[in-house]
Amino acid sequence: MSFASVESLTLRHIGRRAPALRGLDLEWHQGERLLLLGPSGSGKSTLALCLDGVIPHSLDAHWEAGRVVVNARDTREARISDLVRDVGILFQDPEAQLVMLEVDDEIAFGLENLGVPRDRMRERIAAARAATALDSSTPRLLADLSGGTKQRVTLASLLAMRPRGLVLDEPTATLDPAGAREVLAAFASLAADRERSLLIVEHRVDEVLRHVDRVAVLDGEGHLAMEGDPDRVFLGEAQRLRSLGVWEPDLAALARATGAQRVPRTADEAAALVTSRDWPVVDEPVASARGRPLIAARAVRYRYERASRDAVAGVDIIVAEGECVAIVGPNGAGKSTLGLLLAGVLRPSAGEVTLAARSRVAYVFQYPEHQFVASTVRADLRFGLSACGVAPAEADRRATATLEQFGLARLAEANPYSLSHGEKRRLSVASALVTDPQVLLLDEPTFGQDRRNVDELGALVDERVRAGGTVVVITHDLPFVAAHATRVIALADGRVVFEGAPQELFARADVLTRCRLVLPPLAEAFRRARAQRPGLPLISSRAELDRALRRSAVPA
Amino acid sequence: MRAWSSALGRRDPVVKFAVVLVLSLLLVLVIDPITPLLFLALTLLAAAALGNVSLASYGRAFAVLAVVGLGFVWSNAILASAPGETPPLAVWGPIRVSEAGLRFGMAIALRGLAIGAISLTFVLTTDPTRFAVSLARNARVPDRIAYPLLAAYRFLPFLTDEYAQIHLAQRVRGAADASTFGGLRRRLRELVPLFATAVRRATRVAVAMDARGFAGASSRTYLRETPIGGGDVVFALVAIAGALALLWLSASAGWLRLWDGRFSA
Repeated sequence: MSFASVESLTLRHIGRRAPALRGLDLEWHQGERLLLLGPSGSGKSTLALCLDGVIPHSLDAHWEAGRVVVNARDTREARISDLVRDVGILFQDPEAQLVMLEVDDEIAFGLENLGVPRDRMRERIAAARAATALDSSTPRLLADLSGGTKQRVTLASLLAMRPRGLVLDEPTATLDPAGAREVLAAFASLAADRERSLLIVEHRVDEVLRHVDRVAVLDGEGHLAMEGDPDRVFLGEAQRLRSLGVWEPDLAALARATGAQRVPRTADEAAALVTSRDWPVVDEPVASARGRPLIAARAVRYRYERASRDAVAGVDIIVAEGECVAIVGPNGAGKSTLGLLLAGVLRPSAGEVTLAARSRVAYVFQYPEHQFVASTVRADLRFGLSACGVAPAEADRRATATLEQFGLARLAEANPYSLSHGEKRRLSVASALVTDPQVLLLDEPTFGQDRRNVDELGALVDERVRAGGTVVVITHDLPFVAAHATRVIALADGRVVFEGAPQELFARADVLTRCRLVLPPLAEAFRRARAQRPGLPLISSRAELDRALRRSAVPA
Repeated sequence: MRAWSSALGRRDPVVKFAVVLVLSLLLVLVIDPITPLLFLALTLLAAAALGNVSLASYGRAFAVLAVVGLGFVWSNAILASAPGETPPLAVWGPIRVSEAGLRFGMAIALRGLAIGAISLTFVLTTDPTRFAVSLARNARVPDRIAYPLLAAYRFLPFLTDEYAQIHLAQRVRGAADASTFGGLRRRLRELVPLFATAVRRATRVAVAMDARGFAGASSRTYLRETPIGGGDVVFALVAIAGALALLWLSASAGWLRLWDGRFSA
């Protein structure tokens, strides 16, 4: 039986020329747990807003054709106050959906809007808190909560309204790995209850796969590209998924490599697949030989104005030519502060940072928009060049070459703010690289990016490192670290708690826990398998898996 | 938060707000320096005794108000001299400091300090959530205004952090613009991304509120009870009676001067 159906829906956002959704047909069955995937800009969020009635009741859009029926009600004819009783929606950023200052008030907010009497509200708040593991030890003020806990409060506030369906639109996209795990655990218990219809948009596919019944994939144009059983989609359509730029489970690659007909849902299942075949011997990774030191930090401390403790509390590190150093650690560990110190943007309160002669560090911030300084893409690129004193003619030449190199030539005269998510990221990196710095420092570069953008960025990092350049990446993204970093520095409370090769980090459960990191699914699978069969290679990322498979395809 | 459960903190925020308005209006009419000083002393006493507020929390705000206040004292002292009335207190070259001007300047400065202390006591002893709910229920402010106010309150620290980030991010791009308007131009450039993120985030919060039924809520209920009780009435009466008593005291001592409609000493 259908819970919601989208029928030939074509919808265009105000001020946009191209529709966000084009003739989209999608069934969401009663009690079904549906995973929705698509590259960024494919209309996933638009679809989520339509299912909730926010479009067209609260956000206006050009509804060009088709209709959306939820719980036998046409959403355009129903009132939004009725629609929100049917479907609740959890958005990406907890900060952008919290309204109140305290946990209970936040959970009550929706109930108050529905006109639930006060004594009934108390019961419902208690039930919603229990369902999301918010117990009496949870602080009362929202400002005191971590991102993951805030997101659980938002989820609780939706559950209290008792909707029959729930849409989760990338609920972990702004969280660190441990926060994401908290929210996904709450999702898992909802999925296990099977009381509601669930639709989740999520790129941590490995983690949610065991909780979903079906997968639907949108293409970049707002069409439904494919849908069906997860194993059929991920094992049968891998080629198309890749060309669409859609995240697929890492474990699907493992299933293909071992000829399995099913994508493993758990780490043990995955470990069993690993032990089911032979693997070529892969060189144990060693911390790579380092070149000339470019940046040296000695006993560096930094304390922000009016802070009660040091954000960076005595760090000694060296960044050398030709390496890709990843800086990992929990939120608030001082990663970005250390990055700003290494880049010379902040001056240490104590200790010193020295930069090799004639070297420059370019810093790319997490949010590309923060760094835009001009009203066209070309002018933004030229800005840095003239700041470095490059002559106008030479600046023109280099800007044009960089536009070509980053595939931005077509957008040279566009306003940076009008670019897509991925294009903005590309421009911010291009603007940093156009002046040819010795060190490129990237702060959370993969945050909220789709697979194609992350792959592109990874290739760029590899290429620079191969050419002798130096890259420093501040990130929570361990799969990215496994695939591209030559060395990892883990920070906690402003101090270095680990320094070594990515593989060594993955073997240190204590450091991972302390830094609120979660082992990538492939790393977990190979580690478990190796515990049963010593001698298996330690593979942690898609890139390493592909390399190992290429090697075994060529007989020695 | 400790102050929220104090005797002052438990009073209904809207009643408290009304009292703050009344006291501030009374003070605006006062143009002598002694009366505001009495108000200031009583306010700090009440805040410490009934509000559980540490007087240190006033320090920063007072420092700012004091700088502004000193400006008033100085400018009035030298500019507001009425020629021919009384001999100047001091003369430095062309600068003549008159007693009337000095007194008027001090009155304005202390008045600012007193109103500042009263307002700050309100802020420090009031739970913003209760204020918003009480505004909606007791002052009949539409929910459409009261709740977004609360969301905006959450917004302020975010904007500060965001601005600090943007400032650093833009500095990294280099280009210290040394021209006269370079600094101004840089500030303006920093406002563009700040404005863009602020607008986007405000829109998202508004959408999230509607997605939880805020739009079209017809018979809203409230988790928090906000009855105005006898304690609130007593508080309001005592506060206003106290203010009138101070005015009477000041008048009988011959200190009080009220505004007579002129804009200088």
